[in-house]
Amino acid sequence: MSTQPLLEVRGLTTSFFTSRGEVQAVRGVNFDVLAGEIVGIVGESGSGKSITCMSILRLLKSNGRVVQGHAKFEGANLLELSEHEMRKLRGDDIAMIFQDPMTSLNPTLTVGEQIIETIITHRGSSRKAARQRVVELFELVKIPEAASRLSSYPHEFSGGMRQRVMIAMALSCDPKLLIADEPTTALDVTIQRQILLLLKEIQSRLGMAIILITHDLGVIAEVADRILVMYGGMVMETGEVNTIFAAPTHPYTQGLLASVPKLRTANKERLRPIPGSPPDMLRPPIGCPFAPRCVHAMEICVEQVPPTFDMADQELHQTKCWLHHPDAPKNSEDAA
Amino acid sequence: MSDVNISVSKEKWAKANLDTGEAEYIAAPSLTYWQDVRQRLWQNKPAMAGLTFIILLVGAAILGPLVTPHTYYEQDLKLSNIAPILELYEVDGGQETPTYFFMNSGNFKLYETDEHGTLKSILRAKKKDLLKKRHLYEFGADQVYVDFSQLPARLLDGEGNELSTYGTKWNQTYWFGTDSLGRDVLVRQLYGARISLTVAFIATLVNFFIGIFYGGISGYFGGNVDNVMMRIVEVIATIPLTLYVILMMVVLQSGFISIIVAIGTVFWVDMARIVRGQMLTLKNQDYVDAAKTMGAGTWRILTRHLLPNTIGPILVTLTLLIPSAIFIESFMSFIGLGVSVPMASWGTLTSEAVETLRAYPYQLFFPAAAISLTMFAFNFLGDGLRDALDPRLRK
Repeated sequence: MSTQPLLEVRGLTTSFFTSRGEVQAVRGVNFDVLAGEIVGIVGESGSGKSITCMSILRLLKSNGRVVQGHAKFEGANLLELSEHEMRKLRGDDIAMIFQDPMTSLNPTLTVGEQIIETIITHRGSSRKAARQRVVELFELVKIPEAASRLSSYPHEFSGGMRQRVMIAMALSCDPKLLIADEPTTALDVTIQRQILLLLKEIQSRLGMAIILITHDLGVIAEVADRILVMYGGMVMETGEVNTIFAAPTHPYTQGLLASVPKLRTANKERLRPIPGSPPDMLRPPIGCPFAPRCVHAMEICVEQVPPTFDMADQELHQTKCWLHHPDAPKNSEDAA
Repeated sequence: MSDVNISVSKEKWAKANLDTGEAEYIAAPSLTYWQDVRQRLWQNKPAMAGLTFIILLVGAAILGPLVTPHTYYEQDLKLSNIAPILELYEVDGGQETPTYFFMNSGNFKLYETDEHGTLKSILRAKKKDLLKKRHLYEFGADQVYVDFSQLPARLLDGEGNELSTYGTKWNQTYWFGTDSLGRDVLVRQLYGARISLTVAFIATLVNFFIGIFYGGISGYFGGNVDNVMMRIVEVIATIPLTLYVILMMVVLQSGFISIIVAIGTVFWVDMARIVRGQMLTLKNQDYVDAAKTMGAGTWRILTRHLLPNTIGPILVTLTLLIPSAIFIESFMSFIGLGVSVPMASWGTLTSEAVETLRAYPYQLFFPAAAISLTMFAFNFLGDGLRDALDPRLRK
């Protein structure tokens, strides 16, 4: 493992300037992605997961702007590159897979053509070589009859197959970092698993890093090495997957895990939803964004955003909660 | 009742030997988008009728003038205002071969033909009795009077009995008859078709390029660019076309070119608006974002991802724009702003026919039919294309 992370995000703050005011979608997010690891980002809808990644790729809609912070990819700040350099980077070093494979492919081009184009743009290879490469990619993502499926149109594929095509497209130039934005949400459960295993297998074979955005904790548990729990545009807790699943330290993470249905439970255990709804990011709370819904909320939580505390149990395990302040009352910690 | 009696041979109960690939193979037969469109267009009868008519019209306009002996400018004043359908009379006059002739009901003159309806020449009257309002013609021993003392005029023999007709024949020399200067109407119709189709074609082409380019840029970039560009479109759309053509003619003189310039510079606004609207919805599609994340530039996104997806509405707009361009050209020619004589367009033919409407009302039929049939054909085709290109209307 190299000492320098592949991607280093520090203090990333992104806002959308709408007619109703400034919507603070991402508020000071810090995280690292090391080469060859899978980082999962979980959170509810609107917690800023996707916006974080779109900010890194600089593909925000026209009213969105990164206000502060930097995102260094292999030492170069992505937020300061020229549009031309950025375009060369996208698809080549950083690729992305979208949520809905049904709408992410151009219906008027054959799937082969869409990938061949990308390869030619970035690699400048001949059409024939690019075509050969696409066949290899299709075999890699396990599309049957790869050579003949090249000249098919997207509507001739099922959802799972289209997602494979999207993955093949993302892999076409051997990216070092793959951002997968809810790659399995639009698929049915059996296909979800196939796609996840495929991603994991390809990742271990090609050794790239993956940022996996999802709101499905099961998906994270299955494939991710590290996990980032986001809420209200902030990272609430981060650490190794096993650590966090075994001993979540942030009340939000605890709530998330408690609200996941379990198939085998000894006694008739009820699901415990987190009461309330996510904060309005037009007027975010002054203190901890989770405080209004938190069962352990204290006066300090409402008044001031908690700092990030390093947890003792595991290296890189950090949590953003006042409960872990040395002076905090210890009795409430084991309440969940 | 259960089907327990179905017999299955023993080896069929063995475990199936399947390829792993087969589990994910999608077996439904699939058509490409354009195959599907073609199939649906093919099933649409009015659209196919329209398409057939258009193909025939284009073929006739290109080939017709090359094979006919007549030209659009050649005049024969002796054979003016001849009808396409002739009512022939036969007299033998004691000669070996009978003479066939017909009467032009507009000018009460007699014309000699052969028995099939091929024109030979105008016949000279032996005596013109304007007091009794009758002309005398002699065919050997037989006399024929043209009596126009009461209308409609009658043909009488020497004893004052009405002649019986030999038969009704199609004019073999001039299939559509001649106009007031004795020019062949059919060949003028075909030249008119050339003019009208040329105007339609050029207007469409100009519309296609300017409209797509303008609308594409406006829609794709959006924001202030869009605002300014669309306000310009609105200004252009308010200019009255007639006035504009008249101004053009002051500068450019030739009616034909000024009509093309006028239609070309004004008509694209509809196309621009439609392309812009399409762009606004399409640019937020996921595959555009996907293309961006794969490093595609603006030009490639426009030409490869956005425009091919707007081609349906564009095609429909084009086919519906052609008839209106034809109509504008005809209208301009009708009011005297179009092509200059002796060149003919459907509009000038119509206006010439209107001049002789009282005496020869049928002369209006051909240009009017040409204009309306062509407009029908293009409208049917446009309608059919819209239905065929919209997957939501699929049955």
